Amino acid sequence: MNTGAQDREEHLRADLKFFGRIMANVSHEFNNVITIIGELSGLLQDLAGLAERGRPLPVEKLEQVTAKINLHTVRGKELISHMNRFSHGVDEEVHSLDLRESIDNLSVLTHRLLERREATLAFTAPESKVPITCDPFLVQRALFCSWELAMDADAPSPALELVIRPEHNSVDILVSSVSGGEGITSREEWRELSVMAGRLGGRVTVDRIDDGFTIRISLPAHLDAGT
Amino acid sequence: MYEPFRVLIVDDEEDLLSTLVERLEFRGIETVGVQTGTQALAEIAKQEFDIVVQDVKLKGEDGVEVMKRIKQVRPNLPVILLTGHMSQETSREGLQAGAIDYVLKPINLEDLIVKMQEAIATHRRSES
Repeated sequence: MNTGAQDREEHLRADLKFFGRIMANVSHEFNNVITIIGELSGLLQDLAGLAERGRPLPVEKLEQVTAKINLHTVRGKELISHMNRFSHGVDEEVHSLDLRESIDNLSVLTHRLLERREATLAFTAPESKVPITCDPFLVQRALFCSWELAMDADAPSPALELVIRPEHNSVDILVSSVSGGEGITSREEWRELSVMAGRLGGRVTVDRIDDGFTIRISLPAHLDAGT
Repeated sequence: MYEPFRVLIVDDEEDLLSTLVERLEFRGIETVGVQTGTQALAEIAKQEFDIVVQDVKLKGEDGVEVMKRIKQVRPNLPVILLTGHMSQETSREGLQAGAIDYVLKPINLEDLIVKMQEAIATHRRSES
């Protein structure tokens, strides 16, 4: 049986591990962006070198290359902006946020991790804000844990659907797949997700539907409401 | 000018791949670029290459596993891995699995060419 201090340390380590994982992924992605911009500018230098030796400058090609540089600069800028938002998620233990934005932020930051698993995540955001007062960092960790759990349960090419259902005093986050799901609750990630949902004042359940499954994370709209 | 050689580049970042191919071609190096391990194996089955330059992180694939599959088909074909700083551990694993060297991203093209030449020269010496 863990003491309260041991539990806190275990939570802290798991939180830090998730933070590090996202940062490592984003820095890898950002390194790719820098590499592409570096090679594209190298290509411009190559073209300039050829022009110095008398070959006419291919204007259309120059335009294509500069357009790509702009595109990847925007990609890098967006990554930084999402990374910044994610990093500030640890500033306050309880904060009011729009759940749609948290999901969008996490989707961008983990896009490559899902892609590597050949997974797709379809999310149709509600038109109006989904306000929730909670630990912004922990809710993102719980979300990603549910995605990973669902991906593992629906390997090798998981097609996941994400729905959020705001209720009067609570919010349900549903992660579904039309196949897989066997033994989902016996996985270590399930235990982790249950602990996280508990820390957020909510709970997690799974429903088997036909050949698939739905992971339901139910959270209080305000942390106080569930505790 | 470089002693002629043929290189297969494997990277899932489309713009990086096409730019690398173009820049190497400008330098007179015959280059084919593909985005997946499956495409790489298909190209290797179709034609001869002197060297493969391959990213360690490919979409939906473990880069080291892809390299192992290449090595199964062409055990003597030198493979250089491309990696970010964060993947150096994976690259070391790649070296143990048979890669001849690894190059860090962002790439210094001239350094990459020197490494390719050295790897090909070493390979040719061992073959003769």
